[in-house]
Amino acid sequence: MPIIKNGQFVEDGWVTLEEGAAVPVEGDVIIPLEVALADVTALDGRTGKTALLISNDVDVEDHAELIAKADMVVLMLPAFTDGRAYSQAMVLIEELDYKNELRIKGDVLVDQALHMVRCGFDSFDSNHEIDLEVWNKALHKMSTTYQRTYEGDLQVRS
Amino acid sequence: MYVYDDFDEKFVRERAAQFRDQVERRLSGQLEEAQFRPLRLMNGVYLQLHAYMLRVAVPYGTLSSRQLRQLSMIASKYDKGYGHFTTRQNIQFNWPQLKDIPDILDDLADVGMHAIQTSGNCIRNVTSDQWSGVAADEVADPRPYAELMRQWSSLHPEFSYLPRKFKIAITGAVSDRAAIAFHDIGLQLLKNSDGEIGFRVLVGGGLGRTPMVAKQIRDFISFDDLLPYLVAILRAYNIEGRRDNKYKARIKILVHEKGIDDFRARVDDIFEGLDKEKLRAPKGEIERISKFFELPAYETLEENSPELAEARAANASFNAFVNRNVATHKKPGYSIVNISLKPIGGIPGDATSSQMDVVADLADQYSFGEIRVSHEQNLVLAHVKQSDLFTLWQRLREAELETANIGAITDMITCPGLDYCTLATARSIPIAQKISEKFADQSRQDLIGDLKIKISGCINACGHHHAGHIGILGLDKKGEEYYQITLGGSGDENAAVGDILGPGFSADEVAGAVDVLVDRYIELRESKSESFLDVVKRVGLEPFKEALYADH
Ligand code: SF4
Repeated sequence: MPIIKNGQFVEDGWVTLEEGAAVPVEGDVIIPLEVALADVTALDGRTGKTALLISNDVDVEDHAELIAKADMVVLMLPAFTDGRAYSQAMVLIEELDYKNELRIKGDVLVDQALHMVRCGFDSFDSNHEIDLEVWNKALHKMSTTYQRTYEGDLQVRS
Repeated sequence: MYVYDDFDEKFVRERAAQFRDQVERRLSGQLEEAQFRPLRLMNGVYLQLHAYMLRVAVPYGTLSSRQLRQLSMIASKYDKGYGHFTTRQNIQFNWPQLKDIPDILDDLADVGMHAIQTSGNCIRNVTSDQWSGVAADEVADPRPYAELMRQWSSLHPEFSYLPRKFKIAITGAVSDRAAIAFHDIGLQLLKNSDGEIGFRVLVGGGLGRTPMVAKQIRDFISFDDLLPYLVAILRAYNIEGRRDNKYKARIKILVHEKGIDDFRARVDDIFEGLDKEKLRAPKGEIERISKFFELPAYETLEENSPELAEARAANASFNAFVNRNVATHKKPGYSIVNISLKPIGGIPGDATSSQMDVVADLADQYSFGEIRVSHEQNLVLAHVKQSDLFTLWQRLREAELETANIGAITDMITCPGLDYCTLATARSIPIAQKISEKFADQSRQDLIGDLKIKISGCINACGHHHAGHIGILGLDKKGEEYYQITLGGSGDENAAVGDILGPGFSADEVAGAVDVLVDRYIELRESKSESFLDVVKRVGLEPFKEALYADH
């Protein structure tokens, strides 16, 4: 599936590291956190960009240093009913001050898209075939919100 | 009571339109049931045994007469002419068509109502004391804080896919009528020594298959820190709560497994790192909300109305009603009228459309147009002049709403059970009806005094049986319904989980067993003021076991 970003499908150059493969020096690679942890020095020598793939049972605060160096963080959504990634995203942004691209990957569906955007995700890697028109409509179904921290571009009570 | 401004109205209308679109996509097949299910639940739509059910939020149990009339209209237009008030102070309609639900939501939005988060693994409707604002034992009115939390928790982006449902209750009184110790978070309003408003915070209470009394996580949190602190608790739960087993997914299990001290440390750690300023309620917001809850313009009246005394002396049925259903109001000459939705042999919590209309009219005439729903599934008119009580009672009688049994043995909490619920292992409504008929005699009920029976149709405990002075749990043994009885549970400020008495009873035997327990209690009590629960606490289960099982 192509990646969704800013309401459009994009082809980006990211490649996910195959299981068991060594970390290459070149290219933009998504590296599972466990692999990165096993060989931290391999990351320092890279010429391409590095993303970290983090499963949803990881306490992201424990990996602040690695995350600070990442060009992208990919959080996992194994099932759309499992909301851990939303809190991971908030911790990344609010507590670790993470500012680079934040992606969510897995059971990504249109009806949760707005929550994801509001929790700071900016690219989406879905297992499903997404109808972009429905996706973009879903993002604009609500223009109002009661939570200020997560407002995105929604309107709060003035 | 709170009235929507343009912002609230826009929010609720957008939410209704969003759900309409989701229903359309479901009906056209674009959305699979597995993907639709959490969406419909988060908007109060369940699939029951025979039909869809829609649960409408009555935030902290407060309704205007206009809203109640609209609920009545919905009951007759889209349902079978009645609605069911629930233990979460909400109302549910048992027979709507899925295709009609978006229209119902529009009708609700017309009167500032919705069905947001009345189900699903999210923060549910915040519940409170049905006597808020008028109870004589209140420190402060909890409703403004409940409304603030309603807004804060609505469509929360971070906390909409929690491990399991999340229930918050708040009380402002010393006597806990909101059962806060059986909630995921229980809040008790306090004033500290400087007169500053804050909250005692309990966490990890709940009923269900593993009943637990909540533990104190903070003895005092200031108002300013309330929302940030809630965020910290919910974030800890969202990250660490168990998701491997639905029955271990509530926060009570996390708190229990970690221990309250470790859980508190974890929450404090998150709390310290939060940008609290951003998470706080905006400046002036609580003052804005509080304005809506200012008490109505009461007249200055004598403490005791002579008309009332006369009417009580002249009419025994009315006197019984006043004794049981009327409570002390903090304003002289006024009283709180509790309207029982537990007529003898009826379905606990049900009200017909015409009854709702009558109550709405009475609210307009005698109680400043406001109605409360209690978690014990009754209605309340909170500001009635004592001198109006007799006329009010006559009107209630015409609508068959005069049952004088508040807090008495026939005022039972009962879940829908096998008559409606897909999870049920046994029926609960017919059991309640049988018990109710057995104790129909008013003088016997009055003799027994306060006794809370609570009935659930399966171990999920929606009927709060663990918290019943007598709890009844319907189970299934090889295709036969049978009922386990517990004693000594309590949902008030001395919250306790009841203990199982012994082997269960068949559907035909339960009411008889309750009868035996009650007779035993009457023998055991030292005076009429020693309640059933007091006796159980004093003598333990043994004497009751003997009475029940001696000839088995
Ligand atoms: S206790 Fe069981 S039977 Fe009763 S409503 Fe809850 S889930 Fe259904």
